[in-house]
Amino acid sequence: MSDKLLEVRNLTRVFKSGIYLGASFRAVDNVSFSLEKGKVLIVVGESGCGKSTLAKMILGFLKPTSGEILYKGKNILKMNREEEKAFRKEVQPVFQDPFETFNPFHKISYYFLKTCLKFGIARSKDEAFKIIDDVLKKVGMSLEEVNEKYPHEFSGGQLQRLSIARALITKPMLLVADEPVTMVDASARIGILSLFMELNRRYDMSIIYITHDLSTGYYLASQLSGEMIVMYRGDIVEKGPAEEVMLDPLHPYTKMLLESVPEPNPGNRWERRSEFPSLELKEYRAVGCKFAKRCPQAFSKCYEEKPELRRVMKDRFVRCWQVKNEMKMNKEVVSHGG
Amino acid sequence: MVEIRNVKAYYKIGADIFVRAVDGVSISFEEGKITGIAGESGCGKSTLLKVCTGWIKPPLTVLEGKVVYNFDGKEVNILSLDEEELQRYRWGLFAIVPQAAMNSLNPVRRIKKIFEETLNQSGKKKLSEKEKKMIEKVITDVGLPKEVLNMYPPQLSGGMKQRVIIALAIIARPKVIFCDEPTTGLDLVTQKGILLLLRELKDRYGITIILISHDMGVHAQVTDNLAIMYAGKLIEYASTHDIFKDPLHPYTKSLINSLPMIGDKMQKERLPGAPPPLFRPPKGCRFHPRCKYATEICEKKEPPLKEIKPGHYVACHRIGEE
Repeated sequence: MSDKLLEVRNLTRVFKSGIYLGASFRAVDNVSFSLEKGKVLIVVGESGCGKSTLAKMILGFLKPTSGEILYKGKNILKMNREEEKAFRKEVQPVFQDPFETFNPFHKISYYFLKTCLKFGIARSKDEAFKIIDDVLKKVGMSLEEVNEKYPHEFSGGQLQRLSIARALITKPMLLVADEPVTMVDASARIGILSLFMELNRRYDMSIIYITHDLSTGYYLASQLSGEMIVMYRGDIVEKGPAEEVMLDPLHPYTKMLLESVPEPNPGNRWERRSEFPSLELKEYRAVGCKFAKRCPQAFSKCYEEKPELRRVMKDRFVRCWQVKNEMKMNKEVVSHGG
Repeated sequence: MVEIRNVKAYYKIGADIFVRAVDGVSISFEEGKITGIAGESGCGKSTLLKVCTGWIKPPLTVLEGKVVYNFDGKEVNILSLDEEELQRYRWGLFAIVPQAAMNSLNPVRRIKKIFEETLNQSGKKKLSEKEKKMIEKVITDVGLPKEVLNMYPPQLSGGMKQRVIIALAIIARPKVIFCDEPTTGLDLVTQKGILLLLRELKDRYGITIILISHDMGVHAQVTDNLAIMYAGKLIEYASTHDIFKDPLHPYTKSLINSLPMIGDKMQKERLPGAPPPLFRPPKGCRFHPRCKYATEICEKKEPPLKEIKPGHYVACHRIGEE
């Protein structure tokens, strides 16, 4: 058996809008990647790039239009009940808004107990509370702090810790975290990120970290080293080791994103005015490269033919005609098949 | 330009329970500069904006203090004005870009109509040629094509809508604009465009801008001066360069040191604990339960805001003692 924990093959999700069948767009377009056990994958992109749709499909909340998702070599849509239960147990989500994850009318402990009992992790309440105390300690809290309290008694950062703690009850193999620090205050962000780092290092947990915030993505990558996927309008436009992609981006879109990160250093300010983007359905359905209209380097071919995601260096993949031209001297230009 | 003197603004949530959202804050915003207000959620930065613009509705009450605008050789304390007088100064003297305003544009009104309604509140009068020119001018000022005027809000992207909001704010050529989290919810590339636009408006028209944001990166990129708030208090105020180069307050220090930066591989330290509830703030310095340098005096006495270096104010017992 391979050590691939998760494999995504040619995953596509089409959303239809309007009455006409023609008005459809591909939120996720032919996306393939794999994740080994204990590895970290960082997915970055702006709103509308399909990163959340991707997360929902991996978690099994949304059916793909085509393509397949293999968890431990098995298609997650063709699992029997036993397998599905194991999958649900081992793959846990962490969502963006901790205030929405918890129902304000239930005590926090209600969620923890329910998770414990539903997955048959604890047979009695006493046993459950022991396990709950255990996971809370992992996120730096304790049962006494949490037991009789309601969600509104916690800050956003604490709630996000609680929601991660809840996910840990089932001893997951994979955490799918969709923008987990976006709603959390700056001073608590590092805490959440350090928690992910610890979980990965100590328990060998795989993490898919989805974000639009490149600096937190970089921070996680620099501490853990993992793969990075850059998405644009449903496509993977760049893929490679996260640190390399961030420090030496190849795709013009990745470059543009990195230039737009507000660096917390007043000594190094932006100079040029940037173009503002438009979220147009046209871009999803464009014939050529979806980024061509905004690309400062676009030439005629970009508007006519869609580039493939190609290997341009040892483990770097880019979807761009220009990069090929720049890399002509490199003998390693090998086509990347699926 | 705008001077806030010892403002205490509380939300009344019970018979004797107050949320002390802004508690004894004094600050002045320099003319023709961008002043940033930073702090975590619930630190009182949005309440401060409400006070500055006279936007005071129950349960918010102002217990003490003045907000003085200096313009044309006059001094006006807007907290002493009634609603009618206040209305005269809105748009012309100061304007607001509220949080998430771009989603409040009426989706069934053409952008042109929205501008007309702003210019004359009844919306029935025909606009003069001069007013039409004015609208076109502000639309181009914010970097939008004139065709936008004939479009409806849902046809525009988030960044374009935010530009429309900014255009609305500057239409009566105000001297001050308050922007509350103007780029939250926008994409990175769009955010950069909006922030550069604010900087350009300041340079071109000398507008005083107060920018509220929780994102220190945003402040580093555009603001000239920066105020840091914590639990309803102003704890540090200086030029943005000084704040980032030499943060003095322990809270500011940890805030800046915990910022992840691309290319910086250092492991960051996290600040333990959470901000205190504002209806029951801790005695003494409000930061002391989380501060690793806290001593006895910090638990008892509230530190005043002192000028440590020219133009650099800090509220901390430790600073300036040695």
